Amino acid sequence: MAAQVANRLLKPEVLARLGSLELVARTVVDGVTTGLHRSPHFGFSQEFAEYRAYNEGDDLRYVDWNVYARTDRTYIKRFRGETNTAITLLLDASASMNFGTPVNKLHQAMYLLAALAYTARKQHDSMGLAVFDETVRHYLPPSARPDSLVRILGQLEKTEAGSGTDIIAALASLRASMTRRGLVIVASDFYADADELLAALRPLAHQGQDVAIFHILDPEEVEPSLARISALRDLESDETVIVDPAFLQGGYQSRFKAHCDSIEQACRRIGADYTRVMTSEPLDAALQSYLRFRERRGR
Amino acid sequence: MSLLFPAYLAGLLGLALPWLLHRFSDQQAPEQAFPSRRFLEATTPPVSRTRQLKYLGLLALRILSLLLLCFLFAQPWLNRQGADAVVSKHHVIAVDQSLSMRTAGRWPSAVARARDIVADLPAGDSLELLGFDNGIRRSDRRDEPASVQLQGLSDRQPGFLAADYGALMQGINRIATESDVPVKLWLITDVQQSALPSQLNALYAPQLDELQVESVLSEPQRNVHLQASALSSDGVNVQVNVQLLASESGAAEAEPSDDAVRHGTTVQLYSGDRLLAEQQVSLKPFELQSIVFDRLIMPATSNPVFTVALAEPDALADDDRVDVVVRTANPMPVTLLATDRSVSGNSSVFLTTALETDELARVDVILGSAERVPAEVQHLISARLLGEHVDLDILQFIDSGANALLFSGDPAVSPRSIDQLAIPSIRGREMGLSDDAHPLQLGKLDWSGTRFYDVPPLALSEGDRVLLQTSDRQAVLVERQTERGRLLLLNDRLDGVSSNLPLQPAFVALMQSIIGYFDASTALPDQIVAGERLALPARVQVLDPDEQPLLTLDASAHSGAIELDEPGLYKIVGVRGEHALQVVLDSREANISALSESALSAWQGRYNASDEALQPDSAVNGSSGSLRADADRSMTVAEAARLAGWRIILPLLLLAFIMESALANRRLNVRRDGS
Repeated sequence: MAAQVANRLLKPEVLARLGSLELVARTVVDGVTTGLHRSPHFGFSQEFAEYRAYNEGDDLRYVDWNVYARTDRTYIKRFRGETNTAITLLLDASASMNFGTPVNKLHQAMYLLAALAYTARKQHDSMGLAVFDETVRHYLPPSARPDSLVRILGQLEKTEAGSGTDIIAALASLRASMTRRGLVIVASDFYADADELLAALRPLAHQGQDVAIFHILDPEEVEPSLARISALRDLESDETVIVDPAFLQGGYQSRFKAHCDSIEQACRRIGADYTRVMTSEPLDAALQSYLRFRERRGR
Repeated sequence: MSLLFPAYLAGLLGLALPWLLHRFSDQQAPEQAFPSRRFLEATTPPVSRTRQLKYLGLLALRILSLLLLCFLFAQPWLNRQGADAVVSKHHVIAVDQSLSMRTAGRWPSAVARARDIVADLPAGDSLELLGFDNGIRRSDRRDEPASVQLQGLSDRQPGFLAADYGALMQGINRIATESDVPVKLWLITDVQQSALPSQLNALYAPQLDELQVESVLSEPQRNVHLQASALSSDGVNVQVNVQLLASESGAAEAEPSDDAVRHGTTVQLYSGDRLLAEQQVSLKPFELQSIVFDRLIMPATSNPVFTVALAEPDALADDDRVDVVVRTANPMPVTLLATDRSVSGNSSVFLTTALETDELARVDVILGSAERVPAEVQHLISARLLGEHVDLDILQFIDSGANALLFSGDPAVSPRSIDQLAIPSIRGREMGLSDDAHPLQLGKLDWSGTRFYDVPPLALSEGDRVLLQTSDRQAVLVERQTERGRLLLLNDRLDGVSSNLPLQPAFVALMQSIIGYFDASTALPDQIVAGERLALPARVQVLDPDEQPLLTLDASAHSGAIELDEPGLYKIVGVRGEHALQVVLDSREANISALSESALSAWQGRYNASDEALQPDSAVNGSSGSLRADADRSMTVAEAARLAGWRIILPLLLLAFIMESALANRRLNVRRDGS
């Protein structure tokens, strides 16, 4: 079933030709949800979820007076559609994201975040966007206004790869703005030290933020296919390193795999959801991972 | 620089070029973008790998292409190297038959030299023996064996024409072009300086392989060339002018110097066999001297002739004696034919005055038709009605080869005074356009004051050529087409009333131009140089000095041209009488001075240099002349072998280029734009 869904989804190179990011998001999301049919994840309506004991300060409008009449106890009704989560999308627009084929990592991340924003809009969540490289270049605070999706998609479409990257500093500066509990979604290639990343993400988790990490990777950087000695130019520092293909086949790949694993473990430690997204693959796996994550968190 | 150049082999050095390119190019590793160098480790490239030649197949193809290219261009030269050993030669022996070879001893020496050359020729070589003077004279027996051709040479004798080495070499070049084997020219001549062409590059025959000049000069010889003319201004007294030029074969022609040795020469004047006078002159080489025999009495014959001769014999006897015809300075006879249409006496006065100016012509007035014009008169002027048809008697006169000028003599229009002319005509019409392309060249005359008050009507017929017209495009002078002779129509009454043309200075010039134009059509020259072509009118016969006719009956019926090769006193007999024609020797040819050694070496050296160029060691350092001769020679040698080589090398080269291109595209990741 999953394979059939994947087949119906458009590949990244096809998505790149759609032009409008909104159209990309709609195409991706509709493809996933149509394939899921009546899947057991959360619905998007005012559906009853559970009762909870009334606490002081709760809104009296949500007290179930029928239960109170029968049991003489006050309970609060909770609905699934009322989660009203504040979702903050963090896009890494550093120079290293400008790499990859058939689409580069930046575009793949943009398609993914656009699809997530479209999904969130359907759930009436408030959405915000932060684009960063060495610093935070653009920041749209989470908003439930109807035009928030348009603003986010517009900002995404304007985004181009910048210079270097410093995700640690960017997360630190954003932390002050994200006081409201919600969901933080980060799409990046995470060229940072795993421990430092852990240190940057941990305060968000302590604030009660749910963190979803999308590690955007390109097959060429995971398993380079160079067959001859080449000079590799760092996109961020512009430095050139002459590399033997034998090293790329051996030492580099083991180092890179260890890095990815350490990133994933760091995410696990703070309870963040970690998903790898390849530029050569459709976005269905990433979206399903996101939906499962939302389902687990009950939001 | 020729395309077929042995130095193209030096292009083999170009084979190093692809190797160098492959050797030193691509030494730097290709640069590629990469997201981050965080996990990369710099590698020190191993020396052996960077120095290794890459794309060996491509390198081999490129070297092969250049190799084929070099051999392709050098291949004609290579072929010739192999072909020279087996290809025989065609020998052309050209023997000088010009006038100067009649000098004592030269012709027998030339024949003997030709025999020696033929005897020494290799067995497999072919031979052609030919003569030349102002062009090559090929024998009908040139395909016969050498002995037959030699016999034909012995039967020949030098002529009276001048030699032209330029014409000879160009003729030999044509023979060499037609030949399949290299051609060697043996030139047996007296190396006369006067035979050099005015354009020295005519001496070069590109297709000729080799030149060997064999001089027949042995000891210095001296010749005095004699030219003479006789003139009588009054028909009684005669003056004979003689010009003498001495030359020596031992020295090249130069300006006469003061210390040159003078030789005494006696010039004698005869009338028939009777010696009338003689003079002693002292001559230096290359100094022109003139003497005059004066107060001679005109001989009482129709064609009075004097003979001028040198008393002492010299090397060339043919120019030591010359017959000269006495020319009289008589004005040209012109008949003004008066008929009943000649209504104005003014016209005859104007015409006579204009024609007799400067004693150009003598005008006789005759009354009646053209049939009464004397036979010796060839120019007629008459007043006629200028209609579409010309009177029969005029046509008959013209048909005899004579010329006529008709002016308007319409009897219906009586001479009128200016008072009787219409008002618009008082100011008259100016002269308009003229036909400047016509030999009369009327545009050069000054027509500024000429006015036409009453232009008579003129009916033009088909083929009429308007030579003059008024400003309102009325024809004034017209030339009408005739089969023989010339007919001009002057559309004016020449009375001084209907126009002021007869009163203008331009009228005299016009009439003299017309008479000169008429005379040019019938005049025969008094003297020509042997070998020149003489244009003859129809219905004449040419008698040689022995009174033998030279023209057939059919040839004499039409106008044509004849070439008189022998000197002497010829006669041209026609309906107008007998005309003496003196054919004289070419004075340049009688100058027997020899070509300088340096000039001869330079001429012959161009072909000798080509022999040196055949040696491989001197191939690169050869002169441009030798290289050109080398290249030109290779065009004629081993044609088939050369083409065969091209047929093999060219497809191979094409194949190598295609493979190189395909391989380069694939291995070097060459892409076309947009693909």
